[in-house]
Amino acid sequence: MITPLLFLAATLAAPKPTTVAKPSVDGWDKAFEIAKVEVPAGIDDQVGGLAFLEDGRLAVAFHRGEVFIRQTNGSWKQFAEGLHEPLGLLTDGKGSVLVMQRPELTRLVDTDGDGKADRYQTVYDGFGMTGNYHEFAFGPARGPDGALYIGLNLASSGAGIFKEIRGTWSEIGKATRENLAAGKTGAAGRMYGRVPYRGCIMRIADNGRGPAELYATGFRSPDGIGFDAKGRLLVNDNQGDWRGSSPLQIVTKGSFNGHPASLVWAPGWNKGDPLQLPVPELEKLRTQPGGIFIQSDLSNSPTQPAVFPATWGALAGQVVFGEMNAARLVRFVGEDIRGVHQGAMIPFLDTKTLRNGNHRLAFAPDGALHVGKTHLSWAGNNGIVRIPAPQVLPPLIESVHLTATGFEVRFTAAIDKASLAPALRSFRYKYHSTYGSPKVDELPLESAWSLSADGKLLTLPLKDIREGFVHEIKVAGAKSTDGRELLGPVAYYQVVKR
Amino acid sequence: MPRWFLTPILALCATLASAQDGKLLYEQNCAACHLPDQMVVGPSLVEITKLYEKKPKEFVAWAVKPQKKRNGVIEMPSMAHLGEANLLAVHEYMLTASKGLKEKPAVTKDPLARPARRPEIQRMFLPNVGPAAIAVALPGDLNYCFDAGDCRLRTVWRGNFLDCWAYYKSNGKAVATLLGQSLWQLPPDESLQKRVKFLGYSVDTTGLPTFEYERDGGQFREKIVAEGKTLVRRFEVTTAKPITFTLDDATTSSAGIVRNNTLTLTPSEAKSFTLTLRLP
Repeated sequence: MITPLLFLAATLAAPKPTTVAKPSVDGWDKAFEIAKVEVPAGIDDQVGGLAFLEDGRLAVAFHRGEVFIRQTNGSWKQFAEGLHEPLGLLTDGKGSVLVMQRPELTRLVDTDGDGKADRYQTVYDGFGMTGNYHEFAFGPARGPDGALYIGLNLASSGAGIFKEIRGTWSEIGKATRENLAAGKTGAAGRMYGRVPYRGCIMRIADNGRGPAELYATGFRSPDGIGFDAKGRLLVNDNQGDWRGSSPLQIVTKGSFNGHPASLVWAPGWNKGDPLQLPVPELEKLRTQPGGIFIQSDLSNSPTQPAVFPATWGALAGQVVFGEMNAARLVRFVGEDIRGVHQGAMIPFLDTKTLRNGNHRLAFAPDGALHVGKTHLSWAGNNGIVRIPAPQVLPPLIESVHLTATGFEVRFTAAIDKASLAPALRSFRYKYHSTYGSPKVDELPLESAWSLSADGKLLTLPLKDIREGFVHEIKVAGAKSTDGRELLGPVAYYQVVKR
Repeated sequence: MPRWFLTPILALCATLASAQDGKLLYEQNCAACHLPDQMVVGPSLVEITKLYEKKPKEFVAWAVKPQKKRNGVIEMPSMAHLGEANLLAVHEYMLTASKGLKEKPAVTKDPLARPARRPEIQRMFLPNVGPAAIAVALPGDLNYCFDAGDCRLRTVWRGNFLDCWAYYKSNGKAVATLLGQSLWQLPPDESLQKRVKFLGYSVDTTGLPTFEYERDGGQFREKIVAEGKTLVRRFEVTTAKPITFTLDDATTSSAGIVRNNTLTLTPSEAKSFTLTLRLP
């Protein structure tokens, strides 16, 4: 009696929320072990940078400016201190570590071999700072060319600027320096970059010893900067103004990557205030993202990329990103289509056990993935977790490949055909100054799909593949032929070229 | 079945159904900035409940078109894309989630506060200087700020070192407080930035820094130590041309010629000299 009534009542009276993806938790905890790593005592253990040194020891930079190295016996030894919000750490040979802190890229060198840095060498500080809190600095990443790459945030209209700044003030922009220094940010734009190279990727040649140059423009908050297995520079950004959903940019020299504020620093810029340019003009200038972190469903604040080592079997060479807002990581599986690198985002380690705040990622020499967490007063967490490479991968979406006629989805295990019910749609995001974007121009897709005899290749012929659209491929409920749940049963493929 | 029986059940079902999705929607769209019982980027659910408990429509209107209301707090991005039904579900969830909770008092004291190690070096946002500041606690009770932006000693104070809690607890939207008594300070001069290049610092076995920078083509090394009620700045400069300093009344030089407050040192004098700053 009660049951049908409840059903009826819910149907009649409940608001009709749009479909929201329920986080999948089953199975991940069986397939992967997520363990806490003990951190140094008595510190704020928000992690800004994390890397394994050449000798295999783990080096970590923390929120209050300390760098600690975990010794082979598991104890922590302080290597450096006093840095200003380090947000990236890179190994640099014996006794040397590179750290990106707010005011500069710094080389920390232990010249006398006592295990503590005694030289704090400024590698690059040729960028401006206004004192605005949002001017975070990220990186460095070392390219195959031996150069260092860093990312510089824009300032946020959530605050003004200091009276005294570093760098030459740009007069391009509606807000005056005086007003901003008085905390009046109204005319500034949601994010602004009025001192050199804010919103840019900078390249410093010869492992930081050579000259610095502006490498690319168009960023808002590029927390995740790194190179993939083939030496492509991957930089992500955070959903916000001009970022409908967080993009993954495949960054090339001279490219404009979407957020207009930094165009003023582009060599030879002569079009005035880029925030006032018509959107179609900016659209023509910008490099399309090669992948999109789907807001709410996948990632609201993506972070550092890391490349799976050989110990991760079929995932080796693929990229994994951290995510701040949700208890999950994100894999990116890219491919070159007509000269453009693009691909699919797939949820990974989508389990509450992981917790959120996943900021800095590094693989240990034994292949264990280490994730350092932070929050900086946003959603997030603290501490470090360790996830060993599994003996055998669980059933996962291994890759997604765009063909002339549709998609091919490869699985890491044979899938039971009876459990497969692919649901497909495509949509895109608006490119505009407004914060974020709804999914727009949505189109449900039909496919006469087929599964290969070995159960590992799903072929999805599609009529309507649209350039500039995310193609969502959902295989919720899929199971392997031996009854295990397919983990992370959705892929979001951003078609730039078809 | 009497009709009156159906109505409360309908209402209850609506509540249950929406609260479930409301939780997920909250986690996906709101939790980054709104915690249950304390202000972070935006106000807590406790406070939102106080403002909007009986005003779901106003809540939706705000979420669709937020405005800048609070000083020093960023304007919320519009949540229009969630739609009214979802926003009502979020509203409902926020009321449920804040039930029985009280706003946590702001943590006003640094839980990791400790006396400065002397010497100690900390780069930090500091008052009345540029944003690339370096604070140093010297043995004794003196502290100074060296500004890496203009490569100058900028501030000296006596007392406990710094309180950085306002910065550390946040995303950096704060300037540290100098603890103790301000003794000496130089005003800004951004024109100096073009004449200098900061190279970093080395730390000696006791932990004292020696700053290294270029100024007007000369290579400067500067180590600052406390001697009684003075601060002694020891310079070693490699330069092909004479170098100059603008001296204030409290500063004397061990070498060179002073004319109209301008100290000039020959390349040979500049190799090793001290500036002594008398402090109150």
